[in-house]
Amino acid sequence: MTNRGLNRAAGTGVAGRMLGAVAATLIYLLLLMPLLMILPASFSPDLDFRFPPATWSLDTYRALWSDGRLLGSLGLSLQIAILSSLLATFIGGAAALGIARRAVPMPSLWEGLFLGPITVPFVVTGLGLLLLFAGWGQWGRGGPL
Amino acid sequence: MAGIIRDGGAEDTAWAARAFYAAGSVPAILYLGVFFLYPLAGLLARSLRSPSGEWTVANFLTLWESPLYRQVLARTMVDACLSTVLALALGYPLALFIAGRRTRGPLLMLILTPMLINLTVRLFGWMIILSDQGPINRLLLSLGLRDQPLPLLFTRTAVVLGIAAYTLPFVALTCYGAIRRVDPTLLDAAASLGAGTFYAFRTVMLPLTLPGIIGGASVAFALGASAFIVPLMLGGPKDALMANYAYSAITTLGDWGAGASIGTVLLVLVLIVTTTAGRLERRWGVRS
Repeated sequence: MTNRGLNRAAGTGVAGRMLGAVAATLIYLLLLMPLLMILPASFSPDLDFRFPPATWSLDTYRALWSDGRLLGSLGLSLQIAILSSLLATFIGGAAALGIARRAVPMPSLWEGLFLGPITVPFVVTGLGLLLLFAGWGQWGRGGPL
Repeated sequence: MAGIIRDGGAEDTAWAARAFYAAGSVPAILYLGVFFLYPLAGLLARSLRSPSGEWTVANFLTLWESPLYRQVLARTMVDACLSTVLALALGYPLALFIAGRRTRGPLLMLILTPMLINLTVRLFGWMIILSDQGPINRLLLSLGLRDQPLPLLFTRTAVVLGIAAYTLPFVALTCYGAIRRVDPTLLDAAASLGAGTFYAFRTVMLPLTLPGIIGGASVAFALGASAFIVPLMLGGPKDALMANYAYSAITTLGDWGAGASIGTVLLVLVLIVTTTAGRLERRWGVRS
């Protein structure tokens, strides 16, 4: 498999390739810069958005460990992540087998419907669920768990 | 499966396997029904009901007569289109660049890295970048290009930029898939027949990857039009999009009719764009 054709499409000669590399680096910077900003900001005690931080400290990390609410939400995030990924993996995987083996009637219809939550805006799904749970009287509470 | 032959063990096993797989699909189908299709239908039905429960189109008429809502609708469409164009303009060349390199694996991993990190966290990074004390403004000030910081954060520009940065990995990966499917010898053939770089790109690469471009644009538009956190974190009060209005109509005003109907309009717009794009993709995919 040759890359010559693709390289030719990406740019001619040394100048073209250099230009391509510079442009790609800039686009990568756009993708990765937000992540590069966050790490130093976490070592800054200041509340303003400043880069690089004016002063450095571990205050935010100390606060994280001493704040019960923050630790509580960290625990809740982990709990939800583990439970939802287990549930999704098991029932989703089992359904994928059923659809792939054409064991369920109308497999292509189900395939499309299972992709639905990706296309439907999150806010629409979320408000629908809010309507459902409000009807069940679970709004703002921990839910059945 | 017509009948079970008593002697035929193989037939029996096949039937049992089918039943087993079908039974395995039941929990997911029930889950999808109860926690996706039913609430979605509930929200659509709610958009067609008055507070007292009668069927009506009054919610949609109220929306249409509201200048604020029409402005929000227009802003959502324009912002989604602008960010889609931006994401394509950056994502396609990036995909082309990666496809032509030997170090494709690590370069693709770098695109995937932001997708693994929560959007809220990434947007905090953008808030730092765009703030008055951020790297862009510090550069502008130190170069003497401006004597006051350029207001970037909490503007519509920031929202469009933020949405484009959010959808860029999806667009780049879709385009990359399409580019990799093109037989490189076709470009060699075009070159051997005297086509210059740009001519070969325009007449061979671009038409063959058009389905990928449409697919990427469709994903970018769907994500952009339904953007919620990006305008919330990077935009000012005047930059809120439809998703934000649907949410606040319900959670702060308690107006389920307005929230449900804004949500319905958003859903219909996204579905129209994605199904049209899907059709175009298939049509041009077959021709190539």
